[in-house]
Amino acid sequence: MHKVLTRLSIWLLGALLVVAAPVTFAQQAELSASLQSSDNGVLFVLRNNTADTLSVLRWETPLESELTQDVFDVVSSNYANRARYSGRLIKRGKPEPQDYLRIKAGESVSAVVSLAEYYQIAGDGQHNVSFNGEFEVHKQASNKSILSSRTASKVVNISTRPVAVNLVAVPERAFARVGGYNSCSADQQAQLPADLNASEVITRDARVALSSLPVNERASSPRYLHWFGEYSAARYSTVLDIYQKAEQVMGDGSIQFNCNCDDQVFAYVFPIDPFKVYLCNLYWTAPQTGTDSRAGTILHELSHFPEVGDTDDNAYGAVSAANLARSDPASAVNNADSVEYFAENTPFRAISNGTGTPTPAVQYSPLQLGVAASQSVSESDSVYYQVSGADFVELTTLEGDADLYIYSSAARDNELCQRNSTGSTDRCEVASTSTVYIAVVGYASSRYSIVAGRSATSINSEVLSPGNAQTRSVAANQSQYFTVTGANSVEITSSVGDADLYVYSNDSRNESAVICSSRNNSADSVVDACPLDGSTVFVTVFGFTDTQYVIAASAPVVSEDPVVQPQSLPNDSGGGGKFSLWFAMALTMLLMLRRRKVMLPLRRLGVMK
Amino acid sequence: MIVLTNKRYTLKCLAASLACGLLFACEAVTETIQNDPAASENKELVGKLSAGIRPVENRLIEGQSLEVSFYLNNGTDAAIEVLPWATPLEVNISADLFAVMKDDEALPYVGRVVKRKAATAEDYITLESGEQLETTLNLSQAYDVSAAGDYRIVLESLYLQNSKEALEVIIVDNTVAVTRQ
Repeated sequence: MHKVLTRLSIWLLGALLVVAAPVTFAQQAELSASLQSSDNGVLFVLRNNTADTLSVLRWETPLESELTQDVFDVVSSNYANRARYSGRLIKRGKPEPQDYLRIKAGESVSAVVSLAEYYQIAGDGQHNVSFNGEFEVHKQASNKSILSSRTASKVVNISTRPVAVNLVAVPERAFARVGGYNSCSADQQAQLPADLNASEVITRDARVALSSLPVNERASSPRYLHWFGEYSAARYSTVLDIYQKAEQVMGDGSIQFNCNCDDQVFAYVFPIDPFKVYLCNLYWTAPQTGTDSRAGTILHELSHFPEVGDTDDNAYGAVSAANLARSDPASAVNNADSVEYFAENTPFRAISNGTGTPTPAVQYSPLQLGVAASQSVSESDSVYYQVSGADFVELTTLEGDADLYIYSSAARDNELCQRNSTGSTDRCEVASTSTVYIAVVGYASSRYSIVAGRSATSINSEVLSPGNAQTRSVAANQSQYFTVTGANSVEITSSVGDADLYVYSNDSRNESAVICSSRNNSADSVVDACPLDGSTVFVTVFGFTDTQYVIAASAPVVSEDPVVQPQSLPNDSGGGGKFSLWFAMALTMLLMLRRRKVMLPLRRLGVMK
Repeated sequence: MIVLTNKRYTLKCLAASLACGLLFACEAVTETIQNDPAASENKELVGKLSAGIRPVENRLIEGQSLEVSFYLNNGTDAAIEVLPWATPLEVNISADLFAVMKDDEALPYVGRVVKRKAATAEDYITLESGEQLETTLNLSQAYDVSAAGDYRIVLESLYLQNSKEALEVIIVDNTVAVTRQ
């Protein structure tokens, strides 16, 4: 019993120490950091604000000889570009004592970081740089080793204010190291470190491209789709993992090159024997970079090792690899050549098809409203259209399986509608009156017919005769359509609710054709009015809420009211231009209806002939 | 051992060797062309491409290589072309072609995998209608079959392709049993 109690009290004491230590430790800002501009980088200063000696783990901080974590925010001075981190990410084991740095009470340590070597600077010049990273901190009262002493440890997050730094892009830093040679000539040994560096650069670029691509752009990445086929999160991460691991192997000096091969092939490995790479005749005649290059071959071979990717050779050559991506994405992400060609990226394909990235120009064929177009699309290909003023787009698949996608912009970054049924008809309602962009994508090779138009209710445009007011009601978010000819104004008076008035110069009723809109919304019985010039116009009444209204078009006053005295009127409209003319007309019309007694003075202004 | 009993292949290999200055293309393939009465008598195989493996020796002594014999028979009425890379048509094994069991325990593939260029016309072998190719494969290159025991070698699947598509092959004899003392 006594023994049990003792043991319990030790446990309790231990628990108290564990709980108490971080709490007291967190009271003060024990570490603070600052940045100063330095040659093509920053001087990072870390200060110990406590009365104790602290030990900090150097890993993944600026205190390490090589930066291995994206801990700086590097932004161009106009905030247009954020530089991508292209340094290494390293898989770690357990820290050794030398991986810690001691900082005495009140003292500082500093390190220079050549930022341009780790960040891809878009343009030389002024950048704003700030630091945001984590430090593993140990409070160390005695001289005992960190690993054996019982110390309180915690992770603190530290950030700095931005500093202005002048940065100039430098060639990408290579981190690769050859582990050894077997049967390689002096010339070959002179060449191979550069080959491995080139391989490391394309591998790292592939890794950075994949990891920095926003998740919502991955399914449409032209470069990924070309080499690995249809996107899935699992396959994407399989591929990313291969590059990360290959990069690691290239950097840690474990690759052994063996040049004792006289076969007419590029290279081979025994996957169970890492990381020996046998280089053969075609290797030595290949270019250093580009398709089937020396850089790509080394990556290809590394990907075969189970420690990296355990890839197979499912297809030979770039054409077969691209076909494999279309027919069998699961095999493509497990195909060594696909891994290689994605990294070689020759010819260049953009990782993102979003705006701001070079993307192949797409030709949008215009669709005429109500006119069906028949065409065919091959598997995995797309055919593009644009149309204005449609409120539906309908795709009828005659043969195969084609899918319909509608976007609000030509960059296709904002999808309005997607229909990928296996049925014969896909239909999208389009709420926008402006231009929409359409992609018909062949899930299989297909023949189809596509038509864009306005639904039956909207095509019914009622003819509104001048002087013949109509009482109507319109539901919220619905539109009613009129055409008016020979009127000099049109107006709606809402008795209940709120409706808006739009006048268009043509039947497309799209935004570019608006000649007047009136959206008064203050109260019931409000009047919305637009002046007209007598030509045929297209009027839309849009119910903002459920609305009852009276719509009326007015014939030119001159035909109604012969009592005009142009000769007696001061002509002050000459300099006012078109706007004041329209404005005065609108005002006149408005007042004419509601307050007839002010009409005469206005008429004297000479705006109504 | 290279057996070239067909003039057509001999000439083709020589031409390739002269043109490219290479011997690899010739050395890669051991070809024995013969008519196999057993295969041609099997009516189910008429009009089909068939393949199989047979033992070279069923009992091995210590240090002796484990070899199997592979055949591909063209029972169709037309000549076919086939890419030998990473198939049993290539005597220098470069893929995990067989399921190899030692005392019912699967052995891992320890052979090589090879990066090649894209295949061109001269990389394909032509197999005339009614002809058969045979190769002898040394499995000691690709699996650790050095220890004494009962081995079972199974050709579970065979992926063959011409320049356009995969070829349909019927595997007739798919298992070889070998004992090493």
